[in-house]
Amino acid sequence: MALVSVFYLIGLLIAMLFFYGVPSDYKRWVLVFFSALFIGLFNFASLFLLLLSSTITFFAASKIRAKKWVFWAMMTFHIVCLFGLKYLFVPENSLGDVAHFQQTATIVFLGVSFYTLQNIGYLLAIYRGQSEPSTDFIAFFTFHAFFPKIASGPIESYDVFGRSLETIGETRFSTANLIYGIQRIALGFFKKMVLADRLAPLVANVYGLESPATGLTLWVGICLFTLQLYFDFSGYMDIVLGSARLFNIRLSENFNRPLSATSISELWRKWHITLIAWLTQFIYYPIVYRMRKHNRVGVLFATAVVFILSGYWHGVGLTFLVWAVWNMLCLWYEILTKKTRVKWSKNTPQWIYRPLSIFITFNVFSLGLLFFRSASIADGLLLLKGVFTGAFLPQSFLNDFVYLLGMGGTQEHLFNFYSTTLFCMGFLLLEKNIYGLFYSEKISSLSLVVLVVLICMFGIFEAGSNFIYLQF
Amino acid sequence: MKNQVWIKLVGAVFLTVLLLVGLEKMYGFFLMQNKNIKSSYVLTEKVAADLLIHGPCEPYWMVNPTQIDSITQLKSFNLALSHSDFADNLLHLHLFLKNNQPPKYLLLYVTPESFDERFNTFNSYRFAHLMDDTLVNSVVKKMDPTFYRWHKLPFMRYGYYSNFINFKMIQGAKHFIKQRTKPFHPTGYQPPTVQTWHYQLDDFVELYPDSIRFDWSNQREADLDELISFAQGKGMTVILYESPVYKPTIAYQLNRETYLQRIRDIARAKEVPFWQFDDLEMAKDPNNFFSTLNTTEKGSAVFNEILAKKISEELGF
Repeated sequence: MALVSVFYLIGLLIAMLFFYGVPSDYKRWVLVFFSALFIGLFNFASLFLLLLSSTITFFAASKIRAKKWVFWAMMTFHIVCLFGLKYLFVPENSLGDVAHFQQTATIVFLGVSFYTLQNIGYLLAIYRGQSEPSTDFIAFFTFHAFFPKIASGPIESYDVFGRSLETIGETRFSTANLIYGIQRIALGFFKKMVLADRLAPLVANVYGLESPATGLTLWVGICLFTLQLYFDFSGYMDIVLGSARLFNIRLSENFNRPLSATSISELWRKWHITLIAWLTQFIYYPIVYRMRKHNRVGVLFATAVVFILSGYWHGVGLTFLVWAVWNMLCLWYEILTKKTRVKWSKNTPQWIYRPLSIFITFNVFSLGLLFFRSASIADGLLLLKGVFTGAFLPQSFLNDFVYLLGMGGTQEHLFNFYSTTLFCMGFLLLEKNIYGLFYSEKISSLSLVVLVVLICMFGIFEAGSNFIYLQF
Repeated sequence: MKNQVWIKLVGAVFLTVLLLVGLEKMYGFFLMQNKNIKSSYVLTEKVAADLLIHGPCEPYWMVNPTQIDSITQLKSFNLALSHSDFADNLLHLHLFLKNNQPPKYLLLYVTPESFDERFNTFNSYRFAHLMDDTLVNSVVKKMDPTFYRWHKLPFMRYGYYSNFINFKMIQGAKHFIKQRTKPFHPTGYQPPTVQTWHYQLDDFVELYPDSIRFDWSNQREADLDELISFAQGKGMTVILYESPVYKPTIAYQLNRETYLQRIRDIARAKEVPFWQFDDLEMAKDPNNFFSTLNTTEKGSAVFNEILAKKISEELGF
C-alpha cells in the first residue's frame, strides 16, 4: 500500500478509530494488526522475514552477554539479512538504477535495511551494557513493524521508541496530536505530489540521457535531483511522523532543513539524521575511540568507514561507492581545513559568506548525488562531460535553458516548468516559516486549506512514483 | 478551547470543499471557452464542413484542409488530435455532431499501429469538462476507470490530470476575456513543429532493434467498429485511409502486411473503402518525413495534393 494514496488515509483513519475505541489492553494489538496488514498487503515474504528477525532477536537478546557466540551468530544473521537478502532477488542490471528498481526486483523485503539496523543497534547496546533486553515481545515487534515507518524509517533506538510502546495502552486521544498529525501529513503530501513528483519527469529526462542540454543547463538539470530527493524523502518523513503522532507516538526527525547547510558536515547532520546518528553511535565513535592515540587519522579513518558502509547500505552498485567516496573526500577536506575555514568565516561579512557557503555546499552535494542517481558510472561521467561541452552559459534563455529543462517549447510546457520552479524555489525560501505553521499543534486552518487546494490543483495524481527510499 | 479547534478544523474542511466546488465550476467554464480545445470549439461555435478529417497525429499534422479545399472545392475541417485512439476519436465525432450538421464524408486514418495499444491512447483529460455528457461519461468509465472514480470528488476531474489542464484553463480565461471565436489553427490542422529526422532509418532501428511486430487489440477493433457504425448512423460516408509510410522502414515491420489485410477485411465488412498510398515516390524521400509515419511540412504539401486529387476522382468533385 502506497503512503500517498487514499487507501492509506482511509486505513489510517480506521486504525485510529480502533486504537482509541478499544480498551487500553488492546491498543497495542491494534497497532500490531494494522502493521501486519500493511506489510502483508505489500508482500508476505516481508512479513515473514520481519517476524523471523524480530523473534530471533528478541529471544537471543537476553543471552548475548553470557554467550558470546550467540551475539556473533545474531550479528551474522542480521548482516546476511542486510547485505545478502536485500540483493539476493534483485537482477544485477537494476542495481544503482533508482527509477528501474521497483519494476525489476523479484522480491523486495519491505524495510529490511531499516529494521535490521535497529536490531543490530539494539543488540550492540545490550552487549555493551548500555541497555537492557526487552521483556515485551509485542512492543518489540511493533518497534520494527509500526506501519507508517516500516518502509523507510526513521531508524529508532529501542530505548526511546520501543520503551514508549510498552506503555502505549495508557494513550488518550488528544486534539493537539490530531492537528499536528493532519497538518504534517498534508505537508508531506504537498512535498511529494506537488514538488517531488513534478520534478520527477524533468530529472528522469536528464538522467535518462535524453536531454540534449549541455553546460549550465545540464548542471541545473543534474541538481534538480537533489531537490527531488529532498522533497521526496522529507515528504515521506512528514507523512510518517504525522501518522505516528495520531497515535501519540513521537518518532525522530530525519531532516532539519539540510539544503540551508553551509558545509557538507553540517548538511550530513541535517540529512537522514537517524541513519547518520546510528552510524555515528555504532561505527564512528568506537573507531575514533580505539584510534584515539592517532588524533586526526582516527577521525579520517572513521569517516571513511562510515561513508563506505553508508554507500554499501544504499546499494552494491559502483555508483553508490563513488557517491560515498565523494562525500568522504568532502568531509576529509572540511576536517583538515577547519581552522582556515573558521578564519574565513570570521573575516568575511556574513551576508556574503553564508549564501556563498550554501551555494557551494548544494553544488558539491549535488555532484555526489549525480552518481547516486545515474544508472552507471559511465552514464554519470557522460553527464559530467556534457556539463563541460560547448559554451557553459546558454546563448538563449528560452531555447537553450527553459525549453530543454522543461522538455518542450509549447506554452503548456512553459507553464508547467515555471510553476514547478516557482513552487520549489518558493518552498525553499519560505521553508522555515512553512515548518513553523505546519509542524505545530496549533491549527493554521487557512494555511491548511490553501495547502490542500494547491495539492488538488497542482499535485501529480495519475503518474505519482513510489518514494525513492522505498528501495533501500 | 478544544471546541474552538474543532470548529476551526470543520471550518477548514468546509472551506476546502467550497473552494474546490467553486474551482470546479470555474475550470469547467473557462475550459469550455478555450477555442484551442477542439471539443470546446466544436461545441461552442458552428463549424460547417462537408469533409471531416479524423484520427491521431498523422492526419492532425499532415492533412491541411486549406490545400484540400483548394483542389476539391469542398469545405473540410480537421478534427484529428495527437495520440488519440479510436475511442477518443469517437467522442470527438460525437461532440462535433452535438452542435453541427453531419458532414457528408468522414476521412479516418487507419494503420497497423492503430490496432496496437503501444501506440496512441485514450486521453481522458480531454473530456474532463464534458463528463456530464452520457456517452462521454460511459466511454471514460470504460477506458479510464481510475480517473472515472476520482472525477466524482469535487474538482478532481481537473485535478487528476492537472498538468494537462491548468494551462488550458488559463488560456480559456484569456479567450473569454478577448472574446475569441476562432482557435489558433482555425482549420484544425497544425503544421508539424519538427522538420527533421536526423538519422532516418538508424533512428528507427535504434528504437526497434529487433524490428517491430504489431500486437492486435480486439478492443481497438471494437472501438473502430463502433466509430464507423456511429458515423454511418448519422448518414456520413466513411473512408478509411493510410498515408504514406517512410519506405525503408517497412521491411522492419514484420507483420505489417497481415495487419493491412485485417484492415481491408474490416473495411469490406463495414462496406467502406480503404485507401492506401503505398507506392508513392514521396515515401522514398527522407526529406519528407520526420518519423516513420509523420511527414514534414514539405512532405505534407506533396501528400495533400495527391490526397485531394484522390478525393476528387473517387468522390466525383
